[in-house]
Amino acid sequence: MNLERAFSASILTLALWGITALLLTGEFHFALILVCYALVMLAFFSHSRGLRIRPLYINLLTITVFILMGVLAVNRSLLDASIYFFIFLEVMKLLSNRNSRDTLWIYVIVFFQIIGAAVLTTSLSFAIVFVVYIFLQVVSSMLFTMRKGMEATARLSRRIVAHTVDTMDFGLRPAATNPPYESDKRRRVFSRDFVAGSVFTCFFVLVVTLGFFMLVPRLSTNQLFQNLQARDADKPLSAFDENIEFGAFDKISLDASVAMYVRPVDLKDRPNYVRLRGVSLDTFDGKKWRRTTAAGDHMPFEPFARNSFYPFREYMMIQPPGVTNFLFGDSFPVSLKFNFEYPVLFDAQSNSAWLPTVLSKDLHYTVKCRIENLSQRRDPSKLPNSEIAASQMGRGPRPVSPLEESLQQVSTFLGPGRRRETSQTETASANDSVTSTQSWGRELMAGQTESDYVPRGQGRPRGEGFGDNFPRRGRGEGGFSPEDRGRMRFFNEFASRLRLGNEYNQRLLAIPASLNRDRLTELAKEWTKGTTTTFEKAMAIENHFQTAFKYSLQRKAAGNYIEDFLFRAQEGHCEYFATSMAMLMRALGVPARVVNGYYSVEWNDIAKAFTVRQSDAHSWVEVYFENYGWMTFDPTPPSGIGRATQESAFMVAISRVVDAIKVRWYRYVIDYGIQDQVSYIGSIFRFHTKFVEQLGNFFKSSSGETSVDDMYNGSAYFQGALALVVIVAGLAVGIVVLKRRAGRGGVGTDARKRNSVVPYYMEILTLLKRLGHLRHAAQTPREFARSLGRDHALSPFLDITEWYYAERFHGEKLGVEQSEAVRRFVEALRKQRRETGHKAR
Amino acid sequence: MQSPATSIKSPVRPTRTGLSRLFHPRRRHRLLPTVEGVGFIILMQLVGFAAWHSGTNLIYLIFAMLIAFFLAHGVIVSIMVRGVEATRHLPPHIHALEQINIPVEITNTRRLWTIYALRIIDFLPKGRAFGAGYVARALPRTTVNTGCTAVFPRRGHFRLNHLEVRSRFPFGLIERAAVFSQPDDVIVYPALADVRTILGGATGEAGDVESRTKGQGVSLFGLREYTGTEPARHIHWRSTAKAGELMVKEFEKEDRRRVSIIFANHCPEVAAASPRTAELFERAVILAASLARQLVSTGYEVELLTDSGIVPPGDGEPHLHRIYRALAILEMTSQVTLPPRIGENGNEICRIVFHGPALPRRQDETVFDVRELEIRAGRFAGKAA
Repeated sequence: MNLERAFSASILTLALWGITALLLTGEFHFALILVCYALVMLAFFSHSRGLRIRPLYINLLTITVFILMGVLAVNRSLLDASIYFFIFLEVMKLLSNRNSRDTLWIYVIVFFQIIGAAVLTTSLSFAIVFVVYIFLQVVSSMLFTMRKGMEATARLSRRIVAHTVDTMDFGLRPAATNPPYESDKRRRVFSRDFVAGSVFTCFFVLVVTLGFFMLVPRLSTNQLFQNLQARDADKPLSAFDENIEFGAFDKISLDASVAMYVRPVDLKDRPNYVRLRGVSLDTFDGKKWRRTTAAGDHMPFEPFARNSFYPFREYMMIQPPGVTNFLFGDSFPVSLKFNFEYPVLFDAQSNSAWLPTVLSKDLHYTVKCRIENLSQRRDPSKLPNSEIAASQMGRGPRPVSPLEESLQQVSTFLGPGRRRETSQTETASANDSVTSTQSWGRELMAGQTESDYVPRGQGRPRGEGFGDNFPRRGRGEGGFSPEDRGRMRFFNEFASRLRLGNEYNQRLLAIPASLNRDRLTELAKEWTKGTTTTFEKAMAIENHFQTAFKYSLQRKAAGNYIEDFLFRAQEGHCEYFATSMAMLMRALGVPARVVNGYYSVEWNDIAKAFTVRQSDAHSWVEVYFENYGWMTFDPTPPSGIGRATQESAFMVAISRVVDAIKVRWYRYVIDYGIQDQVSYIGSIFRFHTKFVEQLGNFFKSSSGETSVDDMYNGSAYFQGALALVVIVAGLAVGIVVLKRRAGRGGVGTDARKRNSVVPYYMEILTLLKRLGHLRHAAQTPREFARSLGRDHALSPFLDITEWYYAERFHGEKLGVEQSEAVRRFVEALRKQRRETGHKAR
Repeated sequence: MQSPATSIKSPVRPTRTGLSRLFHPRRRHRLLPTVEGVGFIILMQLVGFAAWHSGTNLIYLIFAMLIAFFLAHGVIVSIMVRGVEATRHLPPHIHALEQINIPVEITNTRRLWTIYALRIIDFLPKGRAFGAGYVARALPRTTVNTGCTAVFPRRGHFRLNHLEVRSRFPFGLIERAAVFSQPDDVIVYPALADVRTILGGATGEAGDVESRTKGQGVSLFGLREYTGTEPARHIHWRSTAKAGELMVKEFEKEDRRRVSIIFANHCPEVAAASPRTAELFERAVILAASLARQLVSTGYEVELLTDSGIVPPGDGEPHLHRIYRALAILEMTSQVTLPPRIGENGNEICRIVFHGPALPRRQDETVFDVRELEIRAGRFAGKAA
């Protein structure tokens, strides 16, 4: 491909890629993008075939489109209007691409399209867009520079001639014909070295880009361009929803797109599955579940309590943009750490947290969860007090009382008086401790609201009331320090328990009028025959569902969905199972609610994270136990839980690699922030400090102040670095020595011997002499060469002698092939000489 | 990949390496801003501002990409120019107002890097570019010959100052130039114009002319008695028959036709200061050079007679270049040195007049008064006396 064609192709590809970047954001209709593709292609080929549009028409059209886009900007979105206008400009520029300035404008337009894509999306597809854009831009710019260099030189030549004073009218005119170098435009451009250079440049640009990306300080004001942020999605794409409506999600539940990634912070304690709790729903009207509790403001809390006797696990959560505005955690999320600057809404009763809207940016946060293993559930009414005591001492086999834990957590921040009470209970016997905290808890449960128990928050905005328990440094807006704003603790059992005695408790026991309460009670009693405690009843119902009912994604129940499911179809998906169990528990007078979330078993070894897909959306039940709190029950048959993959092993492997890349993309690109930079800088400083310290130790030990053992025990880090330095230095010395040896030997690396045969000839004479071929003083070089001509191995010497003559008497230097031939001959002679020498020895 | 004007020669060695470069600074480097570069920096600042304001990491990524592009360009353009050696080879004969191609030898001394898109600009002392060339590609350790299209505006002595090799490769953001100090002295010959129209029949046909002396020509000079040494084919048999003894033919001697171009370049100082006189003088020089070329090309022996000196008669290209060289440095002089009886040796005479009163024209001479002749599109128009 010659320069002209390659350049044209690069411009077209770049223009199309700019539109593709916008297409991959998913914000534009595919048909519209197809039209844009067609327009660009049409414009390009029309121009290349000589179609010229008068500038007047172009200007009129541009003004018209500009006005239309202005109307669009007013009515819909400035971003939409800008992007469409840029596409239009691109088409116009392709139509009127006459000179290098037009080409530069096309570059600028494509660049703004890439910027638009960066604003509209944060998905991994942008990484592909970005890398390909760099490659295309590099190649196109290189071709553009070569082409422009030719044109500029030709222009300068013409200007030199034109500006030459021709006072006598000598008819001095620039040559009509193109200068000879312009013929290079028609020569092949994609040679091996050009391709290699392009790839090297792309690689260089990419590496430097990543370096600068890491280094540029993230100091943002987040003000001016907020309007350019992507609009909020109208509707979450997730199968997860705040509400449940029967029969609406069959299609979505098969969606394999990624809903989030869940990475355990401690990889040694990796679970086999994650049950991600999103929201609990308390009110059912016969067709639809909803949450009736209200959300509070964002509530900052202290860091985690240290002396918890429940197993906790921390997860790093990455939710891709546009999935949902809810925040998740395994089993029972307890506290949350996040670095985004959005208000977090929190509903203490449903134990749910969420953002006001679904964001176009991904969410990245760390959640600490109290893990509840369903296979290890035990009847709370039968838990011995000694086990509680053992758990408190850190020796217990498993957590015992979530309520106790909640009360402890609350007492931790409720002010000195309450804390004193708690601390007193901690010093008392185990039995007393439980009794006293429980009684205090019951006092709280007597119907008072949560805010009544915030000791210093009375009459003041929430948040300021926690003053004594929070560090006062750096208080910002709303009385929260930046540190506080990033922490939130779920208030699950305790907070919800506060209202169980009244309104909320009534809701948790309500059965919609469309369901026959007596029939449900009768059924529940039938299934729980022979059981005595609430726990046994719940387990019996759960077991019955899991064994006697079938899981199906098809909507089998109709009309009165739950009764139809329970008494006729006996087949359905998780929402039917969860709703039915909740209704049966309520029929038995036990508070129960439905929980929506995800359940995933898909562990990605490469990403070290669970991949949670939309098809992993799941519903289960939480049952309330007196003096214990909420406990999870999952009545869905095991065949309906967890995603059984039907894909081939290869596709699974590919999928995992992609997921791993996605995790890293979100972690190290999208979520990369000032905290990371501070962390890296800190690690560099630590490295430096440690290195200097170890260096000091090393010299101390050298001077005898420290024993060798100390040095070896304490400075492995330093010694590693030292060994690295020694290795690098050794390699450098080795390279230099080899280079010098090669230069002395004259094997093609010495510049002096590259073009001249004379040094080679002298060396050949020496070698021949050592091999027994002595040149007599009376012999000319040619005669000597002919005398050796009989020996086939020495036949190249005849040619070399002729080249020697040519250089000595005609000044002709060696060509590349000749030089190579001489080098080979010298090598052969050296080898022969070595072999002969060895034999002689 | 080489254009017809360029060719790859055998690999060459670098001129200087290592420390010796420090002590022999044959060249220096400089950076030149470009429009694209300025626009790029503005764009970079805008994107940086957008990233700072929005806090969007992907815009930070694009900002980092722009920085990387700039940095990569700086590094690569430096590689492109630093590995170049340039040598100018002036052609031996250059005429004013003539587009010429000055051969320039570009050597890529790098071992690994192919060099692309080099612009070569040749400069006169006052920084005025007089020639430009281009090299699309130079492979590692090769020499590429290219040409600088150049034109000299006038005749005379020129001192060429330096040669610049510039590159904007790969992204055109900054132009880097290697300035090679290459002082060269060049004598630029006068411009040449077409004089066939004004020359017309002023001189006879080209070739040899007969002189009235005996020689080895072909025309019959006379008859004489045979002496026994002449070739038998020269015996004139008819006269032999008449005279009764052997008679042989004698032939006329043939001489080359000779023209003396008399260019009296003396001029009073007052008149010489006038621009009009200077222009007429230049026109006269051009006319003299053009006449010499035309006459030599048609076979005359030409001599140039001026007040500043004489170029003796001769023919052929070397003699023509001697005349050109003399005319290239010819200036007006206030002293009259030409003898008054010049041109009376039988030569045809072309007298060139550029100032003063019109002299009476002699019978054997043609007078070219440049005040009556004009140059139009490189052709002398008018009438010679």
